[in-house]
Amino acid sequence: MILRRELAGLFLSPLAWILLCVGLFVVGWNFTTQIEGARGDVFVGMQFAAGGPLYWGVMIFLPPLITMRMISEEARTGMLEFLQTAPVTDTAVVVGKFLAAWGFMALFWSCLLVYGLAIDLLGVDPDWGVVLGGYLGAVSVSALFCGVGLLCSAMTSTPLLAAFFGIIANIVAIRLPQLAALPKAKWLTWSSGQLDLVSGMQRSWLIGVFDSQVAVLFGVWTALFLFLCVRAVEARRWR
Amino acid sequence: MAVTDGELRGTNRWTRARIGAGVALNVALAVAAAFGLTVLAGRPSARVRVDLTADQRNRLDPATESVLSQLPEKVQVDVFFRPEAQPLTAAFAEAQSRMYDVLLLAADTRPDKLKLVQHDLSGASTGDSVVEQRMAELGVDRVNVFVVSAGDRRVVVPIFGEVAEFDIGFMGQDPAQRRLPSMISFRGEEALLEALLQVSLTDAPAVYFSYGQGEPDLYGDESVDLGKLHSELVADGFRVARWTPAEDGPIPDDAAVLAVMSPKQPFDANESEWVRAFLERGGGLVLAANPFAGGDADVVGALARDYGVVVGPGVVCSPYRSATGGLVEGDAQVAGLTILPDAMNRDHAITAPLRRAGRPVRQNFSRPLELSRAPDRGLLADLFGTLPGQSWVEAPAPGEDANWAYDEDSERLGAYLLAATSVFPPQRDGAFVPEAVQRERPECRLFVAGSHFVFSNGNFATNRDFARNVFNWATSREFRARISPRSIEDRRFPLGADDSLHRLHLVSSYLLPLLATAAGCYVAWRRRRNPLRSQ
Repeated sequence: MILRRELAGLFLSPLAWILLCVGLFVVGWNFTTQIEGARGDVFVGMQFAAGGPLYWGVMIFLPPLITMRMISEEARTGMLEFLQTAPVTDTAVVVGKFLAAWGFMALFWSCLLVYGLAIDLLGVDPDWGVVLGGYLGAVSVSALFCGVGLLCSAMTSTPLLAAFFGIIANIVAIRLPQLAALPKAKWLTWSSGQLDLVSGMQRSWLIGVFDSQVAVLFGVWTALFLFLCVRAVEARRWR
Repeated sequence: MAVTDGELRGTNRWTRARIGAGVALNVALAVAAAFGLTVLAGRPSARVRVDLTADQRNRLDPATESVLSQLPEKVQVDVFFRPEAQPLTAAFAEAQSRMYDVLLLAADTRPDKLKLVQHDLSGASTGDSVVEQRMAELGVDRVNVFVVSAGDRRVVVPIFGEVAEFDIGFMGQDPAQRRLPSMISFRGEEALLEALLQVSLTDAPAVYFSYGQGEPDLYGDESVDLGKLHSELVADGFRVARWTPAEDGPIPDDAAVLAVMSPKQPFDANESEWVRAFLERGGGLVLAANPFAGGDADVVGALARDYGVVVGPGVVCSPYRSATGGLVEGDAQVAGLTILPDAMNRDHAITAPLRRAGRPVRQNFSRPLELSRAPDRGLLADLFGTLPGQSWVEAPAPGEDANWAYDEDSERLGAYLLAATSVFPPQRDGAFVPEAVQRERPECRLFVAGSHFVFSNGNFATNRDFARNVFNWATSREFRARISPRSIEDRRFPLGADDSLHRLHLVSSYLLPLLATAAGCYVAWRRRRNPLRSQ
């Protein structure tokens, strides 16, 4: 019920369609430019479309912009209080909202599958393993960043502030190994190395490899942020 | 920890603090659990990698995987890559990138066995940077190499020659003949596998250098001495020692190779017999002739002749180019020879890597060699020599001095052999495979050079790899690995040939965003027409 409501809310708002249109243009333009730059090499083009700087740029901004209103707006308008008094648990509320945002991102990144299909129809075998890997990788990163975005949305009543915090958190998540290397502490460098999202993507999904370590990394930390989000929603009852 | 309504009713400061602490603990435990799970998932025993690509491009060859899994200790691979100068910049970058991918794949496949460290060379010009310190530790004096090390053992693998071969192209006036610089072969995985095999050897073969017959100093640092060869062999995993026949008696049982370098005095009958017995039962013998010994003193000539290599009299000479470019003869510098890769045997384990890498060999005062009849079931091989018509043998009559000039009456211009090998099965009872030698069946291996200068300090900077190859070959440590050829499909759009890329551009950059816009407009239109239904 919550998932349906959230999906309807998303697709009825002009913001989602604007983000979809702009995002698709940026990713599509990046994809063909990269293929052209790689002298027609589809493998390299797909790697950059699902892992280049523009890809990470879209990943940093899009999920927080999708999730920013999901909890904060409802808290501001009082809808959240109404939901919390309804016969649904806080977990169901958070998971429903998360699935809606994640579904939107999965739909957005399905453009990679369309690119693969277009390449196939144009007579070049795209290596579906790499295409599928790129898509699953994008969906994994989206799940994590939607979780982060929802947590930020649960922690403030101002959607724009939630988006801002979400964007900052995503940048920190991506640059974690570089940031952790600044104090030159070995244990910190090692710890951040375990959580290196970019190199995790580069050595698995982007080259067409399923790596259980990377799958667990994204799965576990997405679950953690959802857990924290449930706690943050629950904490609103105390206020 | 769920907070109950009962707890929330009538809370005071302490209750709130208690709940807050409980939540904080909850959060900390959750973060710790997530981190722990992430670390556990990275353990090799818990990790699963499945290559989804059609041509399995993300899998190492089973041979490499097997060697990696059986490594007795963790190896470290230090990468020292830097952009190459024109015209090979792009081709070299491709080789570096492909090599790095192979190394990354190996490190990712077995992180418990291989650690990959990429060094940033951008700051390595001050002389005291961390990178330069590491290079000094590893004994690396050049860039664009990777070093595989385990404990004290290390192998330096250069991109140029060992990993890839390049064509520098041709940019002449005729457009039909122009060729862009390119990489013509890549054998990165083989190079890695060979290096892993080499560093994983735990037994150090023993190399004995004969001493007491007037040989050059094994530990000396004069240009004619062999100190640098000694250091290099030790670094390459050999145990190096002297064998003094008059004091030590027969060659020690643990010897894998005996080197006899330019002796001035002959061995006695017993000593000669010990050397022959050692070789004929499966040992490795490295001989370097003395350019100034003849008659009874020509120990090396006498030994080599029995196994199919004849050491002729005199010194091979070739005119050298002066500063103005003219060919000069008439002084002893004509006895300094540079053997270019084209004049080397392309198939022999000693010279093939040098030829691939385009590396020359320097030799001085070399006696000419000739191949005669191979030992029973044996095989002779010429390694390198001078090019036809460019050299002669300076062999003055007894009591006369060499004039170091070509005399067409008494000397002949020709191509002269400077190094050769002879391999044959054991010819004596009690054949053995020397300890720490990587060979299944006994095999006698003989290497002969026209003089020891090919191993001497003065030429060592140029001949380092040649010298290593000789001693590795003598102990059968050639490490030539074979990797099954991969058929990775080239998936490319034919640029410029048709408009398929343009059509892809239309679909991905315009059609999909337009479809999204149209769908958004339709939803907005439906919503405006029937706001209640669309809520």
